[in-house]
Amino acid sequence: MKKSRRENAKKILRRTGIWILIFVFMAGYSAVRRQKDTEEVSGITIGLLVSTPSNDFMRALQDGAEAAAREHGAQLYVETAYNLEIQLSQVRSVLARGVDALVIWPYDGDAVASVIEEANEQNVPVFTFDVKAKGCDVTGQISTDNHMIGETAAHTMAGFLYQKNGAYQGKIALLSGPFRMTSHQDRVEAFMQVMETEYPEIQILVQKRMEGSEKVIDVVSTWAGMYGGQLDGIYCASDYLTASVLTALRQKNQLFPVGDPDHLILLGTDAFPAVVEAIRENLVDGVVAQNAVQIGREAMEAAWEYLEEGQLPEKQRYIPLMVITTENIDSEEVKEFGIWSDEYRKEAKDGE
Amino acid sequence: MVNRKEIRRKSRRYSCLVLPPLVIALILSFMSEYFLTPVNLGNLLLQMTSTAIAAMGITFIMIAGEYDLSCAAVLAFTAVLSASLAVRSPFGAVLGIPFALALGAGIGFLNGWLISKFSIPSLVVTLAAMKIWRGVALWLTGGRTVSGLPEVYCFPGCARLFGVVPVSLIILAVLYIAGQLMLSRTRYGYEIYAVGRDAEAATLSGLGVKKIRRNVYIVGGILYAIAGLLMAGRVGAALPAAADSMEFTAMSAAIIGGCALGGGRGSLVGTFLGVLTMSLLDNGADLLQLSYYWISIVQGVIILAALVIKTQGVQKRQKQTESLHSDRVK
Repeated sequence: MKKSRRENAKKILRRTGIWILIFVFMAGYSAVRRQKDTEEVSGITIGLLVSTPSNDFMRALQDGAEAAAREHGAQLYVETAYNLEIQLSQVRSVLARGVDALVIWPYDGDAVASVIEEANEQNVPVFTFDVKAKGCDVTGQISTDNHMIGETAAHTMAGFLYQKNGAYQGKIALLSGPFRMTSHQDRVEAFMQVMETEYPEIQILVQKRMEGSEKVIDVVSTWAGMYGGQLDGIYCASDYLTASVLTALRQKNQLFPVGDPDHLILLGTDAFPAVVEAIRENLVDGVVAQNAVQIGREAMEAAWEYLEEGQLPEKQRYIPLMVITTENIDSEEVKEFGIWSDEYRKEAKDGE
Repeated sequence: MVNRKEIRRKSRRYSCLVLPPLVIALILSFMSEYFLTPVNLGNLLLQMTSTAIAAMGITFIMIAGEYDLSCAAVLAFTAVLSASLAVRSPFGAVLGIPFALALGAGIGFLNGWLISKFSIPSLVVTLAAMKIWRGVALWLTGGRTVSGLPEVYCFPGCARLFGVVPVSLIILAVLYIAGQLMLSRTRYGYEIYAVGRDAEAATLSGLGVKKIRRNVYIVGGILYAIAGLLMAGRVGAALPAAADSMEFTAMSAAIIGGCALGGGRGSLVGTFLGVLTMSLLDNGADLLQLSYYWISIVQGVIILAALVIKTQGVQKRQKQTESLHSDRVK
C-alpha cells in the first residue's frame, strides 16, 4: 500500500514537473515575443473601450474614434463591453498589454473610477467621452454639454407646448436611461430645473428611467391607456428611447403628424436615424442633436494631441449641439452642422 | 484500507479537473505573449476572487443536494446595503462589514428555513429570492450606484499586504483551505455529503437533515456577502445590478468542478478549478480581443462536456458494480 502511494506521488510530481517546465518555456518564449513586439511597434498604441454597438449612436462613437486613430497611424486595441464587470476587466487587460493612452466610454460613470485610478498610477492618460467618469481624475473629457442639452430641450419643449396650447402649459412625460448613464442624469436634472423655474405651468406627469428599449414600448403603451388625451408630450433623454416611443405609438395607432390635434409632441436627443427620418416625415417634432461621430473623433484627437504635446489646453471639451425640427431640417444651418445619422441611414438602406 | 484502484480513480478524477485549465492556459500562452506576465496573471486571480467565493457557497449547497439561484442577488443586495451604511454613518465603515455578513447569513437562513420547513423545492425558493433581493436592492438605491466608499470598507477588496499581496487573495485562500478541510476531514462535512447522497438514509441514521440544509444556506449566504464586499471594495462602488448572471457562472464552475446535480458529490478544489477554467476563457477574450459572445458559447460547451463525461463515468461504474454483483451471485 505504501508502495502504491509512493508510486502515485512520484507520478504526480513527474507530471507536475513536466507542466512547470512547459510553462517556464512558454513564459520565456512570451517574453521574447513581447520584446519583438515592442521593437516592431514604433508608433503610438491607444486602448479604445466602448459599449457594444447596440445602437447607431454607439456605432458612430466607435467609428469616429477609429477613423481618427487610423488617420494618425495609431495602433488601436478596441474592446467592447456589455456590462461593467467586463469593461473593468478589459481596462486591466489593455493596461497589462501596455498602451500609451486610454479612450473610454464609461459603462457606469459612477463605478469606473477604480480602473481609471489604476491607469493614472501607471501614468497612462485617460480620456473619457460622452459619459463622465465621477470620483476620479481624467486627462480629458469630451462630450456635448449635457446640462446645456437638458436646458435646450426644456426651452424647446416649452416652445412646442406654446404652439399647441397657446401658452407655456401642458402635461408631459420624461424618459431617460438608467442612473449609471451620468450624461442622462445631467440632462434630466437641467431639464427639470428649467421647467421648475421658468415654466411652472408645465407639469411633468411621469418620469421613468429605462434600461432596455423593449420595455419602453410596454411602458408607453400603458401610458397611452392611462393618460389618454391628458399627455401633451414626451421628452426622451436619448433617441434609443425616442425610437421605441415611436414604435409604441405606431402599434397603438396613435402616431399622428405634427399639427394634428391628436398629435403627441415628441422631442428626442442624439438624432438617431429613425428619429431623423420621422422628423422628415413630420411625425416627430424635433431632436436636440449631438454628433456622435464627432464626439468619438474629438476624443481620439484629444488623446493624440496630449501624447504629442504633453498637455491639453482644456480638460473638458464640448461638442456643439443643435435643435433640429420639422421646420429647419433641410436648412443650410443644419446641413453645415451635419446629421451624423444620415450616413448610417444610407448604409442601412443600401444594406436592404 | 485504500486500494490501488481507488487511488488511481481519484488521481484520474483530479487529472480530469486539472487538465482543462492547464490546456486553456497553454493555448493562451501560445496565442498571446501577454498571458504569462505577472500583471495579467495577477489580474486573472483578482478578477476571479468574487466568483470563486460565491461558487464556494454554491458548492456547499449543491453537495447537500440543493440549489441556489439567489447567489448574485444576495451578493448585490448585501453589498449595496452595507455600502450605503458605510457611506452614511460615521461608524458605518467599520460596521458595514459585519453587517453585510449578518445580512447574508440572515437571507441564507430564510432560504434554508423555507426549503426545509415547507418542503418547497430549492429551485423555486431561490428563484423567488433572486427576484426579491435584486428588486429590493434596485428599489432601495433607485438603481443608483453607491460610490464614495470609505477606505476601511474597501480594505478587504483592494488593499495589499506589504504593498504586494492582495488581501482578497489571502481571504480566498484561507476560505478555500478551511472549507475543503471542513468538507473532507470533519464530521460536519461528511454529514453534508451524506444528506446530498441520500437524504432518506441520512434521516434514518439520525442526522438532522433539515438543520444541515438550513446551515449550508447560511454558509452560502455568508460567502455571497463576502464576495459582495470584495467586489465592492475592488470596484470602489456597490452596484444594485452587480454580478449579473453570476449565479450561472458559479453553478457552472461547481458542475465543471465535479458537483453532482443530484448532490452528494463535489469538492472545493474542483470548484476552484472550474472557476479558473471559466476565468481563463474570459481572460482570453480580453487578451485576444474576442467577442464575449463566443466565449459564452465555449463555456456552455465545456459545461455540457463536463456533464457528459461525468454521466458516462457514473454509468460505467454502475455497470461495473452490476457485473460484480452478478458475478458474486453466480
